Amino acid sequence: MKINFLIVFFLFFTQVLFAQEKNTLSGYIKDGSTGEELIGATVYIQELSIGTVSNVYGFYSITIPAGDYHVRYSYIGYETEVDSIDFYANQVINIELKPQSTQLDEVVITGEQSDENVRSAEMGVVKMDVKDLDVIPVLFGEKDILKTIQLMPGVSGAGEGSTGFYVRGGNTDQNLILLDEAPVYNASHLLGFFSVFNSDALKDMKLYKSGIPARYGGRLSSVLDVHMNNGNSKKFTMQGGIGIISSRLTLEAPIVKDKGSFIISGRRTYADVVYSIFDPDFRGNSLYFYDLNAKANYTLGEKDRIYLSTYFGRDKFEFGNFGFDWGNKTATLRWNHLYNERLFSNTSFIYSNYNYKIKAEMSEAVTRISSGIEDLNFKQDFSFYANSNNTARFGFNVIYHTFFPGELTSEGENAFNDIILDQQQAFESGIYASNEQKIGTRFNMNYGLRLSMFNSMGPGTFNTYDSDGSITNTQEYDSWENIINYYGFEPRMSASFLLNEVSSIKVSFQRTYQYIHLLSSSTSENPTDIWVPSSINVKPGIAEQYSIGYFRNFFDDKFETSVEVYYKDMHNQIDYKDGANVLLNEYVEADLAFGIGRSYGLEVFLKKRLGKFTGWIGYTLGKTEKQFDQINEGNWYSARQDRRHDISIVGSYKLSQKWTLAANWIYYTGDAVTFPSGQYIIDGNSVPLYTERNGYRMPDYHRLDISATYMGKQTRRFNSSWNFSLYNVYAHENAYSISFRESEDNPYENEAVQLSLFSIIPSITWNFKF
Amino acid sequence: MKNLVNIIILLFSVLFLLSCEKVIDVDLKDAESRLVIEGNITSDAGPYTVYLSKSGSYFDYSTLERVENGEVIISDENGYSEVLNEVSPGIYQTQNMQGEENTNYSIQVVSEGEIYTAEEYLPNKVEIDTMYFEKDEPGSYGNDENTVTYSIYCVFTDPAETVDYYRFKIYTNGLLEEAGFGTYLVTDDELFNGITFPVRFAGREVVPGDTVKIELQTTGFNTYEYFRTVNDAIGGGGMGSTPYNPITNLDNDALGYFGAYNNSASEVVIQ
Repeated sequence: MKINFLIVFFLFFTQVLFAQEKNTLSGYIKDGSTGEELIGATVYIQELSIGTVSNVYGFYSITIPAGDYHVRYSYIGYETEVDSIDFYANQVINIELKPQSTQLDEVVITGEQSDENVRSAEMGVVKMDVKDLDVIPVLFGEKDILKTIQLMPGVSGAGEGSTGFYVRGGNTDQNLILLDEAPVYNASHLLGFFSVFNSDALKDMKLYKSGIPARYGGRLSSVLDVHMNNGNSKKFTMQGGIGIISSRLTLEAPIVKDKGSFIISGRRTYADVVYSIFDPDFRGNSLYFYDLNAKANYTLGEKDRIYLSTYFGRDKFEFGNFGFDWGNKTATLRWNHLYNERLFSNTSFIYSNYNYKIKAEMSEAVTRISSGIEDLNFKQDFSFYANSNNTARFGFNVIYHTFFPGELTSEGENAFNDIILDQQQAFESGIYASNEQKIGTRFNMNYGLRLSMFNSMGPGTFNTYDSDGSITNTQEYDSWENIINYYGFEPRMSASFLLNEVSSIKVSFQRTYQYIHLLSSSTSENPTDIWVPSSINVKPGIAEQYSIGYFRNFFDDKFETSVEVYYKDMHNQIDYKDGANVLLNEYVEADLAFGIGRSYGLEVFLKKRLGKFTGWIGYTLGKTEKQFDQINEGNWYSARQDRRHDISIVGSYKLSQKWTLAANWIYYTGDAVTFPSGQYIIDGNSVPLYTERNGYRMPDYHRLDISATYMGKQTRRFNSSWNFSLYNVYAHENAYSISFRESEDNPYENEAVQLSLFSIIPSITWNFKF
Repeated sequence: MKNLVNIIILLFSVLFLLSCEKVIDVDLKDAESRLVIEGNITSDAGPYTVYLSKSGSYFDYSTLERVENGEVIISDENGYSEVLNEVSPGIYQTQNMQGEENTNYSIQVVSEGEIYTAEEYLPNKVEIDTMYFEKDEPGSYGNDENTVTYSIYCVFTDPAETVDYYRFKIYTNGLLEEAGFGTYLVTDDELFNGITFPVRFAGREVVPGDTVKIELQTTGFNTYEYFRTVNDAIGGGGMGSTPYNPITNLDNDALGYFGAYNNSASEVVIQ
């Protein structure tokens, strides 16, 4: 296997390196008003009919023969610029595109080239410019990228109001969520009703459902790559918003004009303060969260730029003598370096941390519980713009994980015994190479290979369990002593074949490995969910996905459509044995069951990109099943996220210069759940009898939201807007949970009780910028 | 800890006054009826009772039948065994048997040609050292300022050398606290192994003059495991983990459990 890898690696390098010598046109593409780099802007050489797009740092590079050319730089929402160049040597052209003044007439969903969706080899990809979230109606007026991506086919929400999401049948922990390259381990606030992403601080996001490029690794189902704004490098600006439950403020300014800038963005909720006004008993208690994003960048010269980005967020809950807080910290230090016009390098040092802490004062003792995960991550990526037909990417990364599975300590007169579970540490590393290649005018492909490795290390005492959960071996390991190694070859491939100017067929394949796993004590997003490493007992998860799609645009690319089908096989999936105890359990691995899963489906997407009316319809027909020897008598059963039908309709209409109306409607098949199929009496109480796992369905979910956005007076110095939203307009009582219990009023009667969370909810938000 | 999550969800929902609970109709399947065995052997004086019944439809109590003409035998590890008498339909009792601590017991039930067995250990007694009470701070535990509540403390010393399992039963003026969602109070000794520890039952709405009695049962592991997991089964179906049948020591797909416990009790009068 190793030899195969090397052969592939060398094959395309020889191809790339021996390619014909030509000259290179390169540079950065930026927004002329703010200095923000534009991601995915198009560079097109008109005489040659070839082009490229800028990378996530706004950098582009294209190698072409000598000649006189017209080069067109374009990005949706910006005025196209055409440069005439006499191109007889390497040239650097940095471009600043002017935002279109008529931009407000068009609500666009992505900034990509108009037929990029058909031409590119990418499939199963969702891109979103964060600006486009502004008009979509949302719960409590809090716009949220994690909720908006759930409106796309193949992505479904983990429950009412939840930011957790399932991608093509994968669990919520199988999504790699990156904020400026740093993994975010718990992307939710307040039990998942809000995400950690404050959209004011964000520039764009891209979600890979399939065809995940080889440079990403570590999760089975998807990658959500989120980028923060760099900050305005031209002038000081301030923007913010005031809503019913939270407010936001963002400051941006140049450090040195056109050379460096920074952005600081904060958000805090105050629903608890509002609630205290109505309920005096709640005073003195609190429940809120805050976020702080900060980023700075500086251009050291023609060839070097550095970026420092950080995120800090925390939820706080205080109720009498009980305190509970949790949150993420991330920091990314990046260095972009151009070795030459064709070799772009990015070096990153990344820190990620998630933890929770509980403090309870009772019986003259103070008890504290905590758990978490911490990463140190080194990452080196190269992009080599070999020629106009080949762009190679290669690199490696090494993550040092420290897991804190949990500890309980107490002090005081009536203190408990302490429970301290051993820390665990592991290296997770990957090396990859990939190439994006154009063959002729019709065929595009992106292929690569990632070799991932996981080394779990001492110190600590580790048990081996048999399938009944009995210990078969206990061994003690010294510091840095190797406990177990895993590795995996992860081929990735996607290709498109252009049938004609407006349609294409695409295929993709990916194999992914996941070495760390989330153990959750509940089906909702939960701060006490813990990440655990692969170990002697827990094998890395493996998934393979095959997909094929047909893409077609209509009416001059005004309409985009696609139909994709996928099949995903999942191995070494984790579930719990009955009665499993996830929290503070030294023997938690004995409570785990291991099995397989499969997911397949059809996704249909129709989008209107341009005009007064824009929006999309997404439909997913899917099936997701699991099989565990120890669950459901070894028979296949529906996964909780098995949703036969999932429909999202999103539309917005620009009524006038002042008003924009928007609406979305969501419908999906109820989750697969376990209900009782009988009862019996123990100790005078009715005990439900469960038979089949997930043999029942929650009621189907549907909901309509609407919003109206009013643009206030727009001047050069100040502009503001009002957003009015109605969530769940027709007040459909969607079931959040259904529980079964003995009736309180009638003895010898049982009842099913449905809990619905959000009925019709109005909200109002005022946004400003100056 | 799962309760903690529920509390937070509850709090969150209350906070926004948005949640709504209603009784709905759900069409449930009827699983094949299974034998239910419930029996305990204790250190208290006999007779000890074993109940045999059948599971039935979730919404129809009339389908729950007692099982007559079963053969029920309880034996101890020393070779003593006794066939239980059916004293009334589905209710079987011992005559002479006396539960001894630090002894293993087994049960065998024969019903409709099927044999069911289980084993359980009757552990040593742990005495309650003392009990006392304390008035809670007004406004604690989600109550308003005017509700007066008390904390009852039950102090005992856990033996250091063994892993011990406990079940608490609380009686106010002789009335047992109704079991319901998560109210089988069971715990292992992980947090207080080998120490003298006051277990606190907080936020109780009692008034001066009330007598609060606590039974401290040391139970066998299987008994503890059953009551720990029956809490999940009774409270299941919410946003917790997937609900499941409680973990039983009975074989052959029987429901229920065969338990053993050693009882000590104490009481305190609120003043």
